[in-house]
Amino acid sequence: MQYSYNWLKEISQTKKTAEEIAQLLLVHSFEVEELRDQRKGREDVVIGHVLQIASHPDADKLQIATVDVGEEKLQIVCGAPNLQKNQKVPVALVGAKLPNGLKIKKAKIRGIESRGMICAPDELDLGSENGGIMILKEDAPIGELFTTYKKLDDTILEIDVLPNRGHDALSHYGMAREIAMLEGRILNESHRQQQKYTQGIPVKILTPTCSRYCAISLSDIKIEPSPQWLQDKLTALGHNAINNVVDITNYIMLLTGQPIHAFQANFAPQITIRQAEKNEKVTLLDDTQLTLSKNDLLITDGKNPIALAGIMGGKSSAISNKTKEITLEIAHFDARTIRATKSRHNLHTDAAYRFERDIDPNLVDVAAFHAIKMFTEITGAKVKSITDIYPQESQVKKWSIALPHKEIEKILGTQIDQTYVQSILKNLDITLTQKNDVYLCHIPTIRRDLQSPEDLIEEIGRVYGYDKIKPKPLKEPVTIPHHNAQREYENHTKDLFVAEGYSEIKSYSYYAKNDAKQVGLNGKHITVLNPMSSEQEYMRRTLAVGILKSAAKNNSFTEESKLFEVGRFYIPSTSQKLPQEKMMLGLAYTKKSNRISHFHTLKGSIENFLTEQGLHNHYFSDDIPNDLTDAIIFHPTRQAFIRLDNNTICGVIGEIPKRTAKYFGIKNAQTIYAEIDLAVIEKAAKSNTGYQPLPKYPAVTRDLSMRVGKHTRVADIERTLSASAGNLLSDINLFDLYENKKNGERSMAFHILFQSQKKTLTADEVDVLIKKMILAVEKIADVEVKKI
Amino acid sequence: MNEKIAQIEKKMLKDLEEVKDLKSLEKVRIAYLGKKSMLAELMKSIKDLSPEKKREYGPLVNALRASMQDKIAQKNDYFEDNFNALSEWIDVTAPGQRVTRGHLHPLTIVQRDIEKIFTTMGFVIADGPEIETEFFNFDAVNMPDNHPARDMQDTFWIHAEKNVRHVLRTHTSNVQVRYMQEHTPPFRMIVPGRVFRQEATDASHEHTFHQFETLVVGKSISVANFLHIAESFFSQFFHAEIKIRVRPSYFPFVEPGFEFDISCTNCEGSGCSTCQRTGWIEVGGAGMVHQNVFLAAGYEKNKYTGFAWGFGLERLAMMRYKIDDIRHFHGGDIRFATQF
Repeated sequence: MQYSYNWLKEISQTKKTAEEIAQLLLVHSFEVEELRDQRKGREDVVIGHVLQIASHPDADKLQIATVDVGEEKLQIVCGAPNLQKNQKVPVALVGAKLPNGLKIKKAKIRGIESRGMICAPDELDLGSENGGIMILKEDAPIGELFTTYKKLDDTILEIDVLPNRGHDALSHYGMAREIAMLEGRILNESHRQQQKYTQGIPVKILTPTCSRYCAISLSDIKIEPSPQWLQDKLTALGHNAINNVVDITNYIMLLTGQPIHAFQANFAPQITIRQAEKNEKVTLLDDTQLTLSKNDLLITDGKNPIALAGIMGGKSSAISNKTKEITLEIAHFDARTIRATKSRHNLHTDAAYRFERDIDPNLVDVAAFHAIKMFTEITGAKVKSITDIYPQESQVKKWSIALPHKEIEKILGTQIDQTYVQSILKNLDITLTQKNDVYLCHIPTIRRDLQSPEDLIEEIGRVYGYDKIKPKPLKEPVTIPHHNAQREYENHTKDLFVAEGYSEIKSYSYYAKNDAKQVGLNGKHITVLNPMSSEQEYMRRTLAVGILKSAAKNNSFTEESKLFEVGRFYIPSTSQKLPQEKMMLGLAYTKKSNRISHFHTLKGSIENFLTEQGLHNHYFSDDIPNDLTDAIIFHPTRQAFIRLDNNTICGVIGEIPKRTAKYFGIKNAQTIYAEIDLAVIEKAAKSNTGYQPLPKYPAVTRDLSMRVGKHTRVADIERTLSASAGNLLSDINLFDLYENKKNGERSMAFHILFQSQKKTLTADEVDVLIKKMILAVEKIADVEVKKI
Repeated sequence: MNEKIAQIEKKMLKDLEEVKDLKSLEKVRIAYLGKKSMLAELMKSIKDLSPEKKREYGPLVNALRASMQDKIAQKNDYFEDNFNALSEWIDVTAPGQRVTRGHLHPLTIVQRDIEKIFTTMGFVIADGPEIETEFFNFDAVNMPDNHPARDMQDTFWIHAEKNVRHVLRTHTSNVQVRYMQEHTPPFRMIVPGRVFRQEATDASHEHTFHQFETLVVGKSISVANFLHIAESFFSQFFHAEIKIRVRPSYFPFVEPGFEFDISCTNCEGSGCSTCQRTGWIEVGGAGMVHQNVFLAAGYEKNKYTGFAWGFGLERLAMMRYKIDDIRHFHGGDIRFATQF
């Protein structure tokens, strides 16, 4: 909310400057977001007298004015249609920098020299542009500073009032009370309407959501513009001056925090407050038509709605320029009801803003006092009658909180003098009775946020000053924290792939329905009920979408990219329970070359990763069912399950089909993608596989090279070789794989290693084994071992 | 015999002089010391001599062989130690052969640092679900339905079965009560994690970001304890002496509640453009755990006190690396990630 420094100063009697107040509030109460000196940007604006007007030779819409600004006479080119001879006008001199940032320079406008500018209201940040320049009163002294003449000597503070203080601090009284309290004083409390009236127009409250309703009937009103000081005050605080009635109600709201509404009296001969009927209609002041529900609260004339309670008045009862009699509503409505109605109909008004923060029903007395005073003084109105119905009066009174002194010291962690605490509480207008070391605090109704001892400890802490509290180490014993095994595993995984050259990305947890469809996930997803864009429709069930989008992005400037992400995906639950969240590893290798398959590049990194986990028996199998639905679509003959054993699949790997790649924007490049369930690997990983004694006897190596059929797999050969070799075989390594592009014939060459733990093997022993292996492998169709 | 020895020696010295490289040296070695060399013949012929002669010539031939071996070894060393400056030149300024290195995401780096610091201070690292019930995300942390504070956090709602809705957690505070239900104080814990807000993105706002939650509960935990942990943590994290400033604020799950600033890491508090000349940078929210939160966790009222605080990981990473746009973190551009 915007606050006037002058006004706060007048009420609070502070001697501090605006800057000092801002600092005081920042440390103890609220953040002051902006300080706006009204003089700023208007320093070089003076009052000028238009002596002559001549038409511009080269422009129909421009005129040349000769303006007397006291010390000299200036020639100014002006385009305003309302410019006339003998007017008094604000003139921005050469060198001025206006609030909107415009710098005034000596200029030639269509060939005519112009020295300065005659200002419109918006150029001085004093309202909206309406039909041209600002015209001042005839008696405005020529040459005087505009800010002096207009009494623009205030500073506006934009203060960010905390949500739990809206009920007491969103007013000048409230903020002045806070300032005085921080300076160690109680605000000289404002006047209240003491007497209670019930004899005015009939008011009926039919719902507990209205706790108080005061109707003041005023006659002999003359609707006209407000006095200048009132207009200026409202304008400075961001409100448009409208007419005396509306301006006074706004003024009192800014002063006290209590919203007031004015009805045309003849449309409100009696007032009934009730819940709306289902589908009941109301037309508001601003012509908005609403269809209501039973949870909305209405002010009616006994039958028809005349206002949407606490939010906005109705069209039918709105005052007009001819109105002579009005009824003022000063009431209190239930905060939750107002909040719900406001949200439901998306109506953000100053009144709703305050009511939904649960203001004090006793504020009505303060507002009524000022209303009666201002309406009689300013509009000449006479008070015809007052009705004040307050069904919940007995519930709105001071309440008590017992606060042990040691609790304050325990929570703040500092020693604090009892007399100091007493004075803080006293300045908060809390009355105290003290028994031993317990304060019994009686809370004023204005501070509806103070409900528990902790609430009071916060008040004491912030007024005392958190900066006075010395940091203290924890006294609780430190135990060595349990390690988070999953996090360590994630970190380990990330480090391994970084070492393989992969870079980590993070992508969003949701994606578009169509993204899911394009990668092949046609099945059920968790849906977001209120996405802001189509990119947020589904909670992800694969990391592929994010990673492929990133691959496409990087594809434009790199030949090759290696990406990974470790993140959660979400499996829909079939019950009301929370879905399962799985920690997954996604990997993509993208290369701008389609000449060969890059499958094995990514496979190699995954093999390193699995081997590092002690998972030596992993294998990549092509036993992928044909009828797989709701799974990532890969190139049909370039994909594999990553298996840890016959029963455990830990992931998938494959080439992204061209159509999918194109959809995600990957051009002229091949992407191999793999997705691995980290929980499965973590469970199977063997962190300590034990020690193997170093060999004592030398190994014997033989190479075996063979021609194989077009689709004979390395795994088949290796399995056959190893099955036939016996236990002296220690390793088989493929070291060459050649494919004849012309006839499709392939050849493979293996290093075969024999080793005994007991003796040095002889050549003859190895030859026998090799022969057996050759015999076995040649039984596979299309395999022929080459003679060495 | 003497003559023969002298002759061989003379010839060898001459041949040795003409040797220009290791290859021709080897030829000389074979010619004079090899199995079929003149010296070998000479050694053989000694066998047939009389014992006196053997005694006379034997040492001479051996000396000749030793001297020849010596000279060849010297020559060999000469060639091995010398090189051809022109033909063996390499360009040491040409780039080295490098294995392409991958990079961790900056948030991972920052998160690891934070976890390390807190772990050394005795904190447990806890995790919790990203899709959460309304209870744990809101009600349990003192934000019942219709509470104005629910407005402060724009929420993504998730469809679940039978008209039940879940939320994408709006903060890591959802783990507070989950953790408390499983543990008895005293404890110190942190929760890093991904959170979501239904709001438009710009250079300083993201709908997906990461938070860090800290929760300490015990018999008499105080504001002073919070100040100490916060000061220790930030000083470690920024490798500087950081001061903490606490200002009043409001969060439903704490009372007293505050916002905390750290002394500017750029100007050390003297005022610069990073801290908008205030000397302070706003970092996060904190406060003393609200008794209603303890009640939701099933703790007895007023038995414990504790503090909780939270801040954005992205914000710390942006401060440390001077990153000016939060959207980079989830942008997927490898040119961003590879800078860290």
